[in-house]
Amino acid sequence: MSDVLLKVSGVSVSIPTGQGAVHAVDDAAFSINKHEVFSLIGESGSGKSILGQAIMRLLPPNAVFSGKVELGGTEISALSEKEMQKVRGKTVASIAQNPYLAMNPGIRVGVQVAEPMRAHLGMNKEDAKARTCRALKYFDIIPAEVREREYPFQYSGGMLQRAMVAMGTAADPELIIADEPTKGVDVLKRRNIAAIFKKVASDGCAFLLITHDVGFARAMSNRIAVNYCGQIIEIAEKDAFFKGPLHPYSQALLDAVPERGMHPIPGSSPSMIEVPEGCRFHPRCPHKTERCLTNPPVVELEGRCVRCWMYA
Amino acid sequence: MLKAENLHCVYTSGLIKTVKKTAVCGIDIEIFPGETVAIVGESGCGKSTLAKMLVQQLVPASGEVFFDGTKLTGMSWKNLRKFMGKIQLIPQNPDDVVDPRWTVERSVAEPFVVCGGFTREEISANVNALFAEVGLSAEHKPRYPHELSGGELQRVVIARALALKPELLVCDEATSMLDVSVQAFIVAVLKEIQKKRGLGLVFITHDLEAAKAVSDRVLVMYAGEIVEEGKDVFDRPLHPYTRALLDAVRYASLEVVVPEEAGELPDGFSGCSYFRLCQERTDACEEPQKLRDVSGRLVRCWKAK
Repeated sequence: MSDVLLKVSGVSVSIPTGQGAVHAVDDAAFSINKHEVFSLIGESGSGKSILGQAIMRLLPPNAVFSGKVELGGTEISALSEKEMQKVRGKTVASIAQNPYLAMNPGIRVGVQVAEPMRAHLGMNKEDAKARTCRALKYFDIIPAEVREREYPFQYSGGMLQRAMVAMGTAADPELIIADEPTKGVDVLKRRNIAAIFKKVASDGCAFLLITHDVGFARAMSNRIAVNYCGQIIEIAEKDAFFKGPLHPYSQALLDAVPERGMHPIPGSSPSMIEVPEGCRFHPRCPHKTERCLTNPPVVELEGRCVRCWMYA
Repeated sequence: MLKAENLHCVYTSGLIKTVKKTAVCGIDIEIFPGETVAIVGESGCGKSTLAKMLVQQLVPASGEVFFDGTKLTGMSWKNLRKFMGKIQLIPQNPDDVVDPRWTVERSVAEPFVVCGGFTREEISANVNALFAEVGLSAEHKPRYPHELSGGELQRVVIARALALKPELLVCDEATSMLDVSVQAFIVAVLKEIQKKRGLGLVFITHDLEAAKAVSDRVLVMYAGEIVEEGKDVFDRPLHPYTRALLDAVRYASLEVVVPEEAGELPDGFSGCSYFRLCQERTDACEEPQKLRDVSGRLVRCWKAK
């Protein structure tokens, strides 16, 4: 058995709108190994979240999807909706950006956390409740027996986020997709989220972290993929990436973080409807040449992937 | 330039059983022309309340705010109006402060209209100059707020704040909802404007690294108090709370700290406000702590040396 858990190949998603089709994801290809924390970083509006939704098969109904997603050997992109429901929450779970929007405000937290166990593990009410209490305790929601009977609005934001993680991990998934878990959260809470994720990851769960927070990705992940304007432009091991990013956009992105002096990236993000010809970063790139007007190849270099003519 | 003394703010809630919550207690702050001061602290520590009191959007429970020697607190609304243009607030969420039914051009022109004394041509010329100053092009002008990205809208808000030639900008988490690259861009725009116009800048943020990148001087706030103030706070943090913040931003230790379960402070507790979360607390911390000068740095911790 191979170590590859999730394999995404040639995935493209476009969403028709009034102004034309938005090419949110273009030819995405990557794989996540078992027990690995994989981060997808990029600016908002670069199509990261859509890629996460495409893997979960939770795209908006009018989105056009093509490509292949394999999870543990089965091609989940070809499953029927009914079969997919058995995969969601069981093998792959997602943790949404805003816990207050993702939880049902009218149902007790304990019932919601127990739902994956009841649906996927066939547990009866009592067993599920006992296990829910254990899970809540594990994530420091105490006293669990009391807290489990409360409603989402009675929780603080951080607690509800932890309850969401408890719900995500309830049926022991092999992969968790976390979409922007740190957006708008202050530094102390961000560190807490990182600590909880580390705890879950050490139990052997793989993560796909979708984030724009470079520091968070750095603290958490084994490998990093950089997304720009719908394309994955670089995939590398964390240490190698932070030591020397290859793609000019990755370099510019790292220079923009506060630790490195906040140098802004020249130009502005392109429209996702009329994407630039050839390399999508070329209008803002300091190293552009004539050939950047044609599509750059994906170059493999010492175990890293980069979509740039400079390395061809 | 701006000076605030002993600011207090108390929020009350409930009609019958009134609950009082002190958001800011006893803050002294002074801002000099052309200086960038960062105010750092976690959410709920009173940063935004302080910002609102500085720009006179909120009346402090006690304490005074002076601008160039003139006392602003307690001034009549009519007199205060002259100063409102001098101190401007840039809020966290630009969507909250621009009218969604107006084009952004009209929003930026509004201060001139409200002040009066400008001809139509002057207003249009001023608006064009402001748009150029924040790096927006003419094609952005006829758009509506929902047609702009977060970074662009934030620049519109900055352009409007600059309209009446302010001497002080208070940025309340102006960049924390934005992406790193956009954040860097907004900061670069603000810095350039500051250099050109010699503005004072108050930069409120929870991100110490961002504060370090932009500011000359840093104030660390906790529970409505200033716990540390100085220039090289990040290289040599003296207060345990500053150290905790720095560790968090660098992910130094990945242990969960749960504030809501650390226990309540006993009634009438007058000691250090960071007492219940402090790792280094001793019995002596139950004494009230005062801001002390420790080699050019103000620290509210008796242990700092």
